[in-house]
Amino acid sequence: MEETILELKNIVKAFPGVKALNGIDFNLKSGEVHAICGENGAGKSTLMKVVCGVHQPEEGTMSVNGTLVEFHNPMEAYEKGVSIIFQETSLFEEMTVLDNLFLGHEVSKKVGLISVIDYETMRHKANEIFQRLNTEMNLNEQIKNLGVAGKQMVEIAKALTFNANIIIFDEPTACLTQREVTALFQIISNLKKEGFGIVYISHRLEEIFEMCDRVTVIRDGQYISTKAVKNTNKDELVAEMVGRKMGSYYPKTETEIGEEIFRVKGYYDDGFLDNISFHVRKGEILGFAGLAGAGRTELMESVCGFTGHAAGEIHLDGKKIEIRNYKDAKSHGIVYVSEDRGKYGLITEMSIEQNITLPQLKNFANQLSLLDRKKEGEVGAEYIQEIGIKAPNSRFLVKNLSGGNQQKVSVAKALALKPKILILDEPTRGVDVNAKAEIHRIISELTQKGLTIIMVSSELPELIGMCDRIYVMKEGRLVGCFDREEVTQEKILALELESERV
Amino acid sequence: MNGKRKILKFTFNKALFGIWILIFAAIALKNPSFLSAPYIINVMLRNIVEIAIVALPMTLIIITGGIDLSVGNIMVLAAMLGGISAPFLGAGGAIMITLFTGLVCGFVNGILIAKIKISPMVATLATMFLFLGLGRGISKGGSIYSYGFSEFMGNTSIAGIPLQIWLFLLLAALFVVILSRSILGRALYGIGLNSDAVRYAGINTEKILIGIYTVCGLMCGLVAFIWLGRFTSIKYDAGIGFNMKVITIVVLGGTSINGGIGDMKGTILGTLIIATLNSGLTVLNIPIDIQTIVQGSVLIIALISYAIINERTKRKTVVKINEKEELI
Repeated sequence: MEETILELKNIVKAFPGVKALNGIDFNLKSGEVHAICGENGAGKSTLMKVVCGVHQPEEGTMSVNGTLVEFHNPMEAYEKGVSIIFQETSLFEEMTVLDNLFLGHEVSKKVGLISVIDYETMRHKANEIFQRLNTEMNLNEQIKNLGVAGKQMVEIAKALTFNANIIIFDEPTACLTQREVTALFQIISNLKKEGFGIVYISHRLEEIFEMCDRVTVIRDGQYISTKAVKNTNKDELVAEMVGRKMGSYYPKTETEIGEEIFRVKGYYDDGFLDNISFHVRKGEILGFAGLAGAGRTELMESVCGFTGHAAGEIHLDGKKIEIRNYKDAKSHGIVYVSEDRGKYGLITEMSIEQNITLPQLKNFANQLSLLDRKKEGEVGAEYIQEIGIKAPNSRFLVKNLSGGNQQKVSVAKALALKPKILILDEPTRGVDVNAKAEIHRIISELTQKGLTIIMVSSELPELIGMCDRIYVMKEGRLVGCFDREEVTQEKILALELESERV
Repeated sequence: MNGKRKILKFTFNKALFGIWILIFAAIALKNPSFLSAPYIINVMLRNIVEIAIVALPMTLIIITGGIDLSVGNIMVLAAMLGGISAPFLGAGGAIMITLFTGLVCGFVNGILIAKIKISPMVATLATMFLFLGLGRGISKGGSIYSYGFSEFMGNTSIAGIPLQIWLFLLLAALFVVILSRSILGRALYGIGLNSDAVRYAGINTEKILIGIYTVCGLMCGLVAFIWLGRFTSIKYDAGIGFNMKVITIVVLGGTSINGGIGDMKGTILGTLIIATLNSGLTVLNIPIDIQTIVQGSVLIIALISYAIINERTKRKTVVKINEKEELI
């Protein structure tokens, strides 16, 4: 019999100036996967931080496994069986898997008068857990040597070392490839069969329909609804999340596609790229699909001159060009928007206008190299208007913007360079449904103005919805190309997996 | 930076200014002879000017998240090589050799840090010992004496104010403009805040880093003349303490040792505070050990007030933004 193991009633959490949560109800049964949906800023993360003791609510009650609880810190939540697996892992990179698993609750034994860590027992327990997860893991490996999926596995195992029966996944698939996602879903469904209650937070609606039993929607800190997944559909969920009906999910508009504008020939970089040739036509949106590590980002960075050691030819408008560094690429109108906007894209401590002008400071300075701040402000204001960045003014610090608006600043920064070819690497990673739709709309509008776009994405529906042609990459090679008319998710996936076996 | 950051800096610089006035007034009240203009100019300011000039490029370096622990030793080495060569090559040759030594030492630091990617602290710690050892070896542990040009640099007054103070004012104005208004200044803040993002904007960060360490070395060469002229001779250990004093001034001025935050005006205020303390406590006949304790305490007070102002500004920012989010 399913029993309710987590119950939240009328949770209210306020921060100075804003009510982040306003009367949230939520319950989780054993053996179910319960999704929480909402836009960025809807309060999902705040709610989960309340559940695992990071925040204390002003009002409302919470009961875990039938008893009323109040958590003052995450350790108390762990002890009561609530574990959370964050989007970005909280593991210590330099320590081994085993040390991370038992950090803070090491098993100890007495040797004479002193107690020492009992590695034997810990190792035994850890092996047991990984067996349950059906994964092979070297316990002595340092965390930094594991991939994203491996780190996540350690996080899950860590939750199990606490004897948790409630596990919260916060955007677990954001950085995973399709294959890793499949493996993760297998684990989640095993946990479910063992009677765990699982809270699942994701921006990817497809996953909710694939994985989850029930779904709760919250919006602006308010509870909206809880439904069985089989009784709802994507459009209904999206409508509830944004509070209004959205027309088309991927607003690709038909554009006139012109002559070939850009061609890459025989690109080769030892160990990363193997004889890659592709071309793109004016006004086209060209997609690159592939698993993580397939070499898509490496290819784009190489084409833009970030890595100086690749061999191959690049032709722009029929003429061969040399790109030795990104400065060369920029001067030819080839502009790259990185997949990791926090690390490579933006200086979040700087203002919107300062970020936009960074790649072309020379154009905003006089002969003495002194910056013209008024001109910077004008361009900042222009792009805030044009792209629809939600900010009071262009002097606003980027770190205070939501993920979607930060991404728009990244795009604005690229567009201000007036590119011919715009390369977008994962343009909608980690942004909410609304911002995603807006970014897609912006991309569509840009191609109508004659811009050519190359888009790398790990989300197949996005690629299929937006692109005119899609190349599939695998282990540093191009393994296929589909036209808009013929492409399906299954075809791309089959190609990715099949070519792996060869 | 943006509006809010400006208010923060303004407030902290104001606090620094307040601290300086307070120290100045307290010392002047105890001993009114401290207030005489000749004393302030010829003792208080003249004694700090070498440190003050090197603190200007040091601010640029610390803004990028770097540090240069070898500046005092570059200065000594440059002064020695200049002094040794003066009798053979004349003033022109000595000037060239002194400045060139500073330039090369700074360039070596820049290459180690920007190209070979050694952390600035470790790289300049190593070159600090390297330059110290070279200085000792070249001078065989003895003194190197002042010559015509360094005499001139250290002991000339123009309109009643020592030449080196004019030089400092000129350089300070230049560095203020470079950091706050130029392309280079913006790039330096960018490197301190997120070096990768600057690189991905197509800016050659390596060139910039090599450039500022080289300029710093060059400034050390420049102050080598002044120092040698002022003291008439120099020994290999003269730079001991110089490195830390330069860094102290920059940090006292509110520049974050982690990079990305700070400004040149803070450094100048920091210079004034240290100068006032050094001379003022001597005027009051306070023993040197107590002086050191006072200096340490002032630095701690400044850092605490910086932390408090920073925290308060942050809190204000949070509320403001939330209000705005509701508007959106």
